[in-house]
Amino acid sequence: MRSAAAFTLVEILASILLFSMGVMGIIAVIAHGLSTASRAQSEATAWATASAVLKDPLPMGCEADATTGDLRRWTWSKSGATWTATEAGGSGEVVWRYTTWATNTSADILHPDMGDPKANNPAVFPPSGAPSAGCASGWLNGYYVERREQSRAADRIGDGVRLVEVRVDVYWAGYVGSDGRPLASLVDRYIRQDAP
Amino acid sequence: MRRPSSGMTLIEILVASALGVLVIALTWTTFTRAKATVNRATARVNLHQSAAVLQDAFERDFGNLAPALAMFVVSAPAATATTRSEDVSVVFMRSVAPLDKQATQGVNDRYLADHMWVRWRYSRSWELIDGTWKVTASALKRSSSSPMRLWNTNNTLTVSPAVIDPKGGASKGNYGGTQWLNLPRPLRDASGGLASLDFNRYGLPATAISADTPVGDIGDLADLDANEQIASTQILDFQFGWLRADGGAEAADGRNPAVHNIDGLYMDVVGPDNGRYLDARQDPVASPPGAVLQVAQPQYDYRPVLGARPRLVRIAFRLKDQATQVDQVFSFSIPVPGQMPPVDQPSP
Repeated sequence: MRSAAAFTLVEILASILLFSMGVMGIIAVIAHGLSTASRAQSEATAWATASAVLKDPLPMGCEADATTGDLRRWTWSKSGATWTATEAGGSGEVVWRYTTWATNTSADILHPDMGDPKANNPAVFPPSGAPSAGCASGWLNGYYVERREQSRAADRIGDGVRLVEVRVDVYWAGYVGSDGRPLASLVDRYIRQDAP
Repeated sequence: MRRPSSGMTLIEILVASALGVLVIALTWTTFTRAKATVNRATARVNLHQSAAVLQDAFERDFGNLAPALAMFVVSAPAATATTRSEDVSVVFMRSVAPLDKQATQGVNDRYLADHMWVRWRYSRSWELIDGTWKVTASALKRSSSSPMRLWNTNNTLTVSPAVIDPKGGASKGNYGGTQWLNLPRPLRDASGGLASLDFNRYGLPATAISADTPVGDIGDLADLDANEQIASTQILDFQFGWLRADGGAEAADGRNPAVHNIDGLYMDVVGPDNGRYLDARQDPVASPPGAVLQVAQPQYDYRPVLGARPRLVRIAFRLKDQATQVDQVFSFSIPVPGQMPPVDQPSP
C-alpha cells in the first residue's frame, strides 16, 4: 500500500508553472481576440476617414488642449503650393501636408505607385518635405493617412476643368514605416473645376 | 530502501512558498496590466464605434441637405460669475423619402413631408466649483421635424398672417371645430433668423408643450425642441465648419458668438416680392446671363447666395471614456449636394 501523503517540491513547482502557463494562455487569447475586434471595429472609422479625405485634402483637424481639453484647430500655413498644418499646442509638430496643383496645366500629374502604394514612399512623400503635387499625408482620427490625386493631360475637359483620380489609404499608426497594408483604401474619380 | 514520503521539509516549504508568492505576484501583475490594457483597448474600440455611428448620422443628414433652402449656424456662449455655457446649433432642411410611413395617420398619410428640418446641437455647461471651472454637462443632440402635426380644436383660431405668407398677407378666416394638420415648412429666405421657423404655426397663442400634447400648433423650431434626443454623452467638445462654394472657410465652436443665416439657392424676384415664390428665376444681367424665366420682371442675382452656400461640411469632435480617461479626436468632412458651379481648390 502506497504511503505517500503530500506533494513534493517538484510537484508544487510543476503545478505553479502549469498554472502560470494557463493564465498567460488565457491572457494571450483575450489579447488576440481584442486585437481582432479592435481592428474590425476601427475599420468603420478608417473607411469613414478615407471617405472624408477623398473629398477634402485639407480636413478640419484638431487636437485637444493639454490643459483644458478643448479642441483647437490645426494651424495652417502655405509655402509655395504646399499647405502645412501644425498642432496649435506649441509643439509645432507637423500633422498634415498637402501640395496643390494647377488644374489648367497641360502636363500629366501622375504618381508611380498609384496602383500599389507603400506607406511613406519617399518618392511621393519625402521626409519633412513637400509631398508630390496633388498628394497629402498626415495624421487624422488616430490613423496615418495618405492621399494621391492624379490626372493625365488627356483628362483635361477644358480650361480649369479636368477629370482626376484620387486614392486614399489609411494605415494603423503602428504600421507606418513598415510594409503594413492599409486598413482602408478608397479610389474614386471626379471632376475638378477651377473658379470661373 | 526509499524513504517513505511524508511531506516537505521546512526548507522545501519555504522555497515552494517563496516561488509560489513570486509566481502569483508576477501573474497578478501581468493580469492587472493586461486587464488595464484590455479596458483601454475596449474603451478605444467603443469610442471609434461611437464615432462611426455619429459619422454615419452626419453623412445621412448633411448628404441630403437641401441646397435650395435656408440654413442656420448659431454659436451662442453665455456666462455668469459662476457658470458658463457653450452652444452651437446647425439647422437645415434635408430631403427624406416621402414614402416613409413614420407617422401613419390613416387618410393623412399622403401629407407626410418630404423635407424636414434637422438640428444638430452641441451644448456644454461649466460651473465654478472651489475656484476651478468644471464641466457639468456635455452632450450632442439631434432633432428632426415631426413628419406632420395633427390636432383638433373647438375654438375659433386666429391665423397668423405669417402662416399664410411670411411677408404678410390676409388671414384666411375661422377654422374652429376642424382637425388641423401642419407640416414643416421650407424657407429660402434666412434673414428672419432661426426664430423665423416658428412663423409656421397655427392657432395663436401656442400653448403646446410638445408635439404629443398640442393645444393649437407649435412652430417648426418648437417642434425641433420637442423632438430633441441625445446623440452622444461621450462627447467633450465639438466644432462645426464648412467650405463655402466661393472657396471661403467658416467655423463655429460654441465658444465665440456667431450667427450665420444662409439663404437657399435661387432666391427669386427682388423687391417687395422677394422670397415669396418658390421658383428658380435666373439673373438676366449676369454675364453670361441666365435664362429669363419671367419676362419684364426684376430678377435676383443669385451668385452671392450661391457663393455663401456650403459645398462641404467639416465636423470635429472629441470623445472620451470617463472610466479609463481614454480620448480620441475625430474629424470628418462630408460633401453636400448642389455645389455648383465648382470652384477652386479648398482652403483650410
